[in-house]
Amino acid sequence: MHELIRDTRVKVNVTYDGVAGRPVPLWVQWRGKAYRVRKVGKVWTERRGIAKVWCYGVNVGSLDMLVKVCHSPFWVAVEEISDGLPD
Amino acid sequence: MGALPHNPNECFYLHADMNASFASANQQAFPLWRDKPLGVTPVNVPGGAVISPSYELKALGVKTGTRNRDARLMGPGVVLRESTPPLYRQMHREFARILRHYTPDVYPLSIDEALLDLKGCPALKTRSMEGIAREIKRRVREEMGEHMRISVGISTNALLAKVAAGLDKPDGLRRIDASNAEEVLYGLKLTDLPGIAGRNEGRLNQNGVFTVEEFRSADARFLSRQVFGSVEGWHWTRRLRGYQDATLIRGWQKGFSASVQTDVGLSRPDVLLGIVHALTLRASTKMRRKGQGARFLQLMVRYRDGTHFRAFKRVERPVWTAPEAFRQMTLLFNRQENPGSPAVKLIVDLSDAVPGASDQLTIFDIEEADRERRITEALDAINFKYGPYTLRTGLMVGAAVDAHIHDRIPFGSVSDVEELYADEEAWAVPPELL
Repeated sequence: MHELIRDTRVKVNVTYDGVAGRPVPLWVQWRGKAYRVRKVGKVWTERRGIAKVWCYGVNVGSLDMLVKVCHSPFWVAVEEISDGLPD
Repeated sequence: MGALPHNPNECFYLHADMNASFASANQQAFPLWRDKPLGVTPVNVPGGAVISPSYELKALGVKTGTRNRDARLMGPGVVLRESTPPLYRQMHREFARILRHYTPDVYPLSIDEALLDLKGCPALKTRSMEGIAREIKRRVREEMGEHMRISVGISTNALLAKVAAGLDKPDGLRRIDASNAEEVLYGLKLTDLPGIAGRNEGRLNQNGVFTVEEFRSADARFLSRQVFGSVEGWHWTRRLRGYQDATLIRGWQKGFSASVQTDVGLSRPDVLLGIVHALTLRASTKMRRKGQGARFLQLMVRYRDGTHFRAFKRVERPVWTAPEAFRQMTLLFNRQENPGSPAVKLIVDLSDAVPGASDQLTIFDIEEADRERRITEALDAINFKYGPYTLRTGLMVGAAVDAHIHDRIPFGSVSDVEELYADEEAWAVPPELL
């Protein structure tokens, strides 16, 4: 299953990785459940107009999520979710 | 010329090619997709095509260009997902940063491959070419992600380095030099050589050349006069013997196009025209970035019932500004005979492009021309800084148009790569080398 959900009712707990020089997510709280981030597959950025959005491909156990964090204006979202199985 | 020996010099060209780049990048980002048959497609509709299959998907027989509906039928567990252009751009920048550590002469050939000219580079004082290649491979895994793999080819010229990189995929490392050139090249098909496909293969076959061995041992005069009909034949004689041409990258290109495909038929004329303008903006922006103007404009529409419409126009003075391109495309769009018919594909093509078009001035309407020119420059500057379609015309505004104009990633094209890092510092010399 692989879905585009674009859900902004989400909270992301982020820490700063001083070695890589970028923020990394630790927990994702989504639909009433908190998921511990097991693995950050890749971190990249994209631009929406003048805003810079941090994108994280993260694994939270049995699910992979695409989490987006924008600092100004501040918002967080889970944009994609996948269990790695076919549709 | 037939007796020209293979280039006996040392190898200084290194071709680095990311394996299944888009699919690997997505597998890197989403760990659950690793080791699964994943295909990346620009638009996930049955009529769309897979542009980057993972190696697991390739094993099922899916190639680049296989239709999505066919790919799903070729094996169990096939996952298709839409492309993520910002991720690939980031990968390209990281790749570029690694390569820049070894030589300033890095020529990006597409988003996932680059050619390095290492002649005279300090890195070669402490390591061999193979040593540098292994180090690049290790750094790609450590700095870009453990799932990323590259193939490296080493040779005395760019063509053979690319051929060498394609020999042992994935994660290969091969060298082609005077000692093994015949053995390696004679095992290949003509179409395995970059630049030989379709028409060039036909030309060679028509003249009795069917294998790489026949091609390599053919007389230069025969190739240039009879087969290619140009100096190109002479270039091929030298390339296949390991000599490098003077130019590595083409300076300008002939045509610029943009297209949109959808599975639902679009019949609203305002939405269709908005999409045509968006495509015109995309193609003409690419063209202007090259400093070129088009003398041939073409619009193609394919309808859901299988019919199609094609209109074109040749203009005296090259079209360069955005307003002029919009005007011309609107005229072509209005020529449709059955405008209400649902369309599934739109292609805008600006070709017969000539360099230096922006410098050509008109003697009529100087003020108006100057105004359009300044509007175009401002439009390009803003869209370049903040991303495509940040500033657009009124017709392009609206959810119906937005749904069809995706951020596209240039794939397999040399000319589009410059867009990726023109505004980036990725290709600047790293501070430690200054």
